[in-house]
Parts: sequence; structure tokens; C-alpha cells
Amino acid sequence: MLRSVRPLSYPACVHLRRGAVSAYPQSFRLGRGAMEFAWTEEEVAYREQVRALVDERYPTWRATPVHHSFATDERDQVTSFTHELRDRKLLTAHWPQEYGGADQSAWMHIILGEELWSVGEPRGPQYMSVNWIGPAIMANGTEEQKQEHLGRISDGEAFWCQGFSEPDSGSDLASLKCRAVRDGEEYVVNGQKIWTSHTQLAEWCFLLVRTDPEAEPHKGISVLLVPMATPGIEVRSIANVAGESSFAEVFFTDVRVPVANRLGPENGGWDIVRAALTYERVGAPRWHRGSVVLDALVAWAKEHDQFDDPIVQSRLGEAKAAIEAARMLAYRVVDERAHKLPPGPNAYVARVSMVRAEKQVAELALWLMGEQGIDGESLAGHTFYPTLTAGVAGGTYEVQLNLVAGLVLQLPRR
Amino acid sequence: MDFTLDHDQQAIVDAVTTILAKQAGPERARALGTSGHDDALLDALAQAGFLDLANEPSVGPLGAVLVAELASLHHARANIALRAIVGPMLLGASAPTRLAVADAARPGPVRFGQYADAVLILDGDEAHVATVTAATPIDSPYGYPFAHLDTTPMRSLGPGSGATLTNWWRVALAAEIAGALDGAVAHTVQYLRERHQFKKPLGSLQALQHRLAEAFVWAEGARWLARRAAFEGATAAAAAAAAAYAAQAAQLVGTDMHQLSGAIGFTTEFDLQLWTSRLHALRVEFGGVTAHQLATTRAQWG
Ligand SMILES: Cc1cc2nc3c(=O)[nH]c(=O)nc-3n(C[C@H](O)[C@H](O)[C@H](O)COP(=O)(O)OP(=O)(O)OC[C@H]3O[C@@H](n4cnc5c(N)ncnc54)[C@H](O)[C@@H]3O)c2cc1C
Repeated sequence: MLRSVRPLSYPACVHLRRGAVSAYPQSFRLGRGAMEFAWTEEEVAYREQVRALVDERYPTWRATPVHHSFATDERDQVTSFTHELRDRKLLTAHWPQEYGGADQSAWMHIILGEELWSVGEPRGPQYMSVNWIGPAIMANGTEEQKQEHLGRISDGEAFWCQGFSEPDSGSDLASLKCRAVRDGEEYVVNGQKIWTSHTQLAEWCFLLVRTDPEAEPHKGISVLLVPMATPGIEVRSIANVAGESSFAEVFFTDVRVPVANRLGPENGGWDIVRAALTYERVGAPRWHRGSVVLDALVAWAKEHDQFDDPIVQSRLGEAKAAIEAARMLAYRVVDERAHKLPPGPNAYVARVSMVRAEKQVAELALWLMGEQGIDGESLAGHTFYPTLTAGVAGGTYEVQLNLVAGLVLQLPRR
Repeated sequence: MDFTLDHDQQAIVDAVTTILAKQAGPERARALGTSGHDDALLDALAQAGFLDLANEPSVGPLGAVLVAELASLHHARANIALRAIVGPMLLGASAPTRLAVADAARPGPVRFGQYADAVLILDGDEAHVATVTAATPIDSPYGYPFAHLDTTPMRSLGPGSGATLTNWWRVALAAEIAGALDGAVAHTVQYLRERHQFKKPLGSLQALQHRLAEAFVWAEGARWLARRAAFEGATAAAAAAAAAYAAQAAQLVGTDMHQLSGAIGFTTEFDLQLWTSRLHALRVEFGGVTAHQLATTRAQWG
């Protein structure tokens, strides 16, 4: 693919040695055109549109200190913004037209995220619907399911939660026990989920259930799309110190779900989940927030006469390099999506680098600000604690390392 | 050289542990909250003489370090390490029970500042005692009460007292960190022993065993450096090295134990955060790891 090249200050161009030979051909497969790292004119125009929206309609956002996040559990605050994105055809530009998109490339989703995360956008509880729930329904849903859900998502109306983890099934997700038993045209669901984010607003749950307890663990799992208002669902929030929006336990007691709400084949849920998780891992442009936090830290260091300290400069440089490495490794995954390649293990490589970079920035914030960062309302206060969870949420750092070791490096198993 | 506790030291450890087991601990810490202060515990330890051991000739600052480690291990919500170590060494018998320590050169909030009857302030080469005229508490997730203070100086402790305060402050920090490291590592070891995934205890995975073993070694190093620094009367080199090592250990252990505990580690009901939140506060206090490292180098070779 030949992209019309336009020199850009954003992000800085990166030069790779041409003709470098990779020892791991699978993981380093790149696009079909000549390798280059510039944005196309459409992408530039799209980014400018997003920036213009923020500047016109939400002028205070860019002026608000970077650590402030508008992520909210107020429904209207989210939808008033997502409707505006929808009206300007920005929300799901990368989706096919028939589902409310504009047939643009996968890059648009990332550009949108970069521009909006950096100003503390309020889409938090709707992020997953555009990022991976919609695509999972597009790929696996029935016509009725697509009709019911995709329009609402691209309209900025849908609120979902992700019912995967259970008390005894965290890293070993395939061992999940929440049981769905077929009863005529319904499933009867009994069991428990935990750490479920965004339950306050969720109208639907993307729920993993065990439909065949006899089969091998990952061959007996199905996906059910469950309205949260169904009788028998009880949500209890969990007090936490992470500073992320709170998470909850969700209990299912004789919850009746129509068979028509199953996504994909019975017992075929695992493949759907694996694909969804690779999207989840790179969907949120956390590297970009890290880079904005770094800019704010530099401003803070200058203001407090610390910027001239070579140790400070060395650590800022270290963190910046980590952020840019994460950006490139994440962009490689987006490039695969743009080329419509199936989800592959590069997402795990990217996620490892993203977690590392994000933690490095958070650590730098606390280190630099010292006692002044102890204040929960300071830049470090808003960065350090929420980032502690980065290596756990969405699949742990160690599990990503296992996947890189096994799937990319193809190391022998014990 | 002898790494075992003598009879008197063991008696101190036993007695302090008994008080802390009864009056401190995770439930008490939760009930008080991060902005609370345990007057009752502080008074109990003061009345039993455990805050003034550092000046007892038969016990000395090493005994005070043992008290500080234990108080931190048991989540005491009072300024015990600084009071038991810095207080007697700088102020002798006149040290008030409720004491805070601050550095005039650093604008940050002061730990336990809003509860202090007096503040010991480092002011360059000198230290002085001050009273608090106004305290503005801040909202902090870091496990201790903090406040910005306005103070009125009462008396100077004379030239050279700045260095004495600097060194004992570092020893106190190292001891307090050592106690919290001990708790955080032991808690995580126990949790991964019990937590099963993939049909086996997570603690049986070698990758995780290595992380726990490394954390344990950091905690052990921090403990023995703090004890030696106290024994040596807080020489600049020993005190700075103890604080440097402890602050680095606090960073690594304070983040890695959360990583190894998974999502449950972020819940308020899980004890881990009661140690780690304090580790992060302690490791940035008084300039943090880089200041302690630079001080180590200067004391050793400068
Ligand atoms: C902020 C936040 C939001 C979340 N939101 C959701 C949500 O909306 N929906 C949902 O379903 N879940 C959610 N989760 C849960 C998340 O997916 C799990 O926490 C994660 O999968 C890990 O499971 P666990 O916490 O049980 O850790 P455990 O599986 O108990 O792991 C503990 C430690 O052991 C390590 N470990 C485990 N197995 C191995 C191995 N084989 N090799 C090496 N190390 C290993 C882990 O990496 C970790 O360090 C959320 C979690 C957080 C922190």
C-alpha cells in the first residue's frame, strides 16, 4: 500500500534499518507496501477534525491539567459527548458503513483515542464497545444481533461490561465455572463474576459461561450477550485503592437468557475471546497519555528548577524512549488490523512494552515530585496509583510474557 | 559481630509485639483510616518506655530500630520510628510524645504534621524545634496522615545538629521501611502459596518464586543495613546507605507484590496495601532514593 507521505511533527518519524532480517518471521511480518512511518492525508485530516471538535466544543479540556480525567459514571456526560462524535462521523469511522461506520482504516480508532485520551475524555465506559465488543459481534453475530447492537454502539448509546474473570479464574480464564444450562430456547445461568468494571452504567454484559463441563476447559465455553436488567443478576461493588473506576462482583442466580443471545457457536466462545482480548490489549492508547504526562512533568521540573539536573534529564529521556517504543509496537498491531490480518501475537509484545512504559512514567512522576507527589490531587497522585493496575487489568504482564515466550519465541514447554 | 538478639533485646521485641498485637494491626489501621492517628497506641508505648530506648545505655538506638520495625510491620498509625529514633537522639528526654520531622528546604507535606506537638526542622546545618501554628491536612492515598504546616521556631539545636538529624532521620526511614517490607513480602508469599491457578499453587511457578525470593533478599538487606547504621551511631555513610537501599527496596517490593497478587491486591480488604501504600510514602520522603544514593557516595568518597 502506498501512502501519500506528508511530513509531520506528530509523532516524530522513526527510522528503521531497511532490509533488517528478523529471526522471528511470524512476529515481524509487516504490511505489503514499502515500510514507512508517516500519516496519510486522510489520517491527518481526521486528527485535525478530532482536535477541532475538542477546541470548538470543549475548550476547557485542553487547558485543564493533564492529570484530570473526565472518565465518569454519569450516563449523560458520556452520551452527550459520544453523540457529538457520532454526529461528526468520528466515533466509529473505522467500521464498515453498513454498521454505522465510514469504511476508514483501523488507524482512525487509534487517532481518535490518542487525541481524546490526552485531554481526559469521558468515554471510559464506552471504550470497550467500540474497541472490541462491536468487532466481536461483527465477526460472529447473527443478523439480529448485529441489528440490535452495532447501531447502538456506533450511535454512542451502548454501555457494556465484560464478564470474564471469576474468583478462581483470573489468569487461568479457561477454567471459568459460571454455568449455563440449556432449557429449551433459553440458557439458565448460575455463577459469579468478579472485578467487573463499569457495572454502574452497563446495560449489557459480554458474559463468558461454561456450557460443557465435560469438555476440555477451553472447548466448553460460550459467549452470552446478557441484559444487565435480567432478573437474578445482582451487582455488589468492591472497595478498592487503585483509583480506577470501581469494579464489582456480579452474581447470577437462575438467570434466563434466550439462546438467541449466544454469540457464535455453542462451546465456541474461546476463539471469540482470544480475538477480543488481542483487541483489548492494544485498544486504549495508553502510551499517548504517558507521553502527555511526560510533557507535564517536564513543565513541572522547569517550574521547580529541577530540569537542569542531569539525573532528571536522563530519567525523562529513559521514559520518553520507553513510551515511543510502546507506541511503535502498538502501531505495528494497528497496522496488522489496517491490513485486515487476523489478530496475532504482536499484540502481546505491544502490551508488554505498553505496561512497562506506563509504569516507567508513573514511577518517574513520583520520583520527580517526591513529597509533593504524595498529594492525591497532584500529577503524580493521579498517575501512580491508577498505573499500578496496568500490569494486571486486561490480562497480566506475566501472562503476556508467557505468550511472547511461547507463541513468538516458540520456546519449549516444560 | 553477633546477629542474634540478646536477652534484653528479645524481651523488648516480645513486649512490643504484645502491645502491637493487641492495639495495632490491619483492622485498627482500617478503622483509623489513612488520616487517623492512634493516640492510645502511642501513649501505651510511651508509658512503657519504648519510645525512649535509644538513650538507655543498655539498649541504645539499635533497640529503637527494633521497635520501629515492629511498629511498621503492625501498621501502627503513629509516628513511632521518627519519635523513637530521631526524638531521643536529638532532643533527649525533652522529646515530646507527638513529634514530627520536616526539612525546611523541601516544600512537601509533613507526615503526622497535624498531630504533632512539636516539629523538628532541618534547616541547613542546624536543626531547630518548632511549634505548629497551622496545619492543612492533604488527601493522600499513601497510608499516613500528611499536612502542610506553618510553624514557629522555638529553639535551635546548634551548629552541626543538621547533620545529626539528617543521619538519624535516614536510619528511622530505613527501619520503618524494613518493617513494612517484611510484612508485604510475607503476605505475598503466603497468598501465592494458597492461590491456585492452572490447577497448581501460583507459588509453585518458578518465575514467581524468583520474584518473591528477590523481594525477600531486598527486605533482608534493608533490615540489616538499618540495624547496623543504628549500632554505628548513624554515621553519614551507614545511614545514607541504609536509606538508599531501603528506598530502592520499597519501590521494587511496593510495586511487585501488587503485580504478583493480581486484582485482589487493589481491594481495601486485602492487607497488602496497608504496607505498600506506606512504602511509597517512605521511599520519597526526605529526597527519596536519589538523595540517599548521592549522600552515600559523598559520605564514602566525596
Ligand atoms: C482495574 C482492573 C479492572 C478489571 N476489569 C475487569 C473486567 O471488566 N472484567 C473482567 O472480567 N475482569 C476484569 N479484571 C480482572 C483481570 O482480568 C484479572 O485481574 C487478571 O486476569 C488476572 O487475574 P487475577 O487478578 O485473578 O490474578 P491471578 O491469576 O491470581 O495472578 C496472580 C499473579 O500470578 C501471576 N501468574 C498467574 N499465572 C501465571 C503463569 N502461568 N505464569 C506466570 N505468572 C502467572 C499473574 O501474572 C499475577 O502476577 C480487572 C482487573 C483490574 C485490576
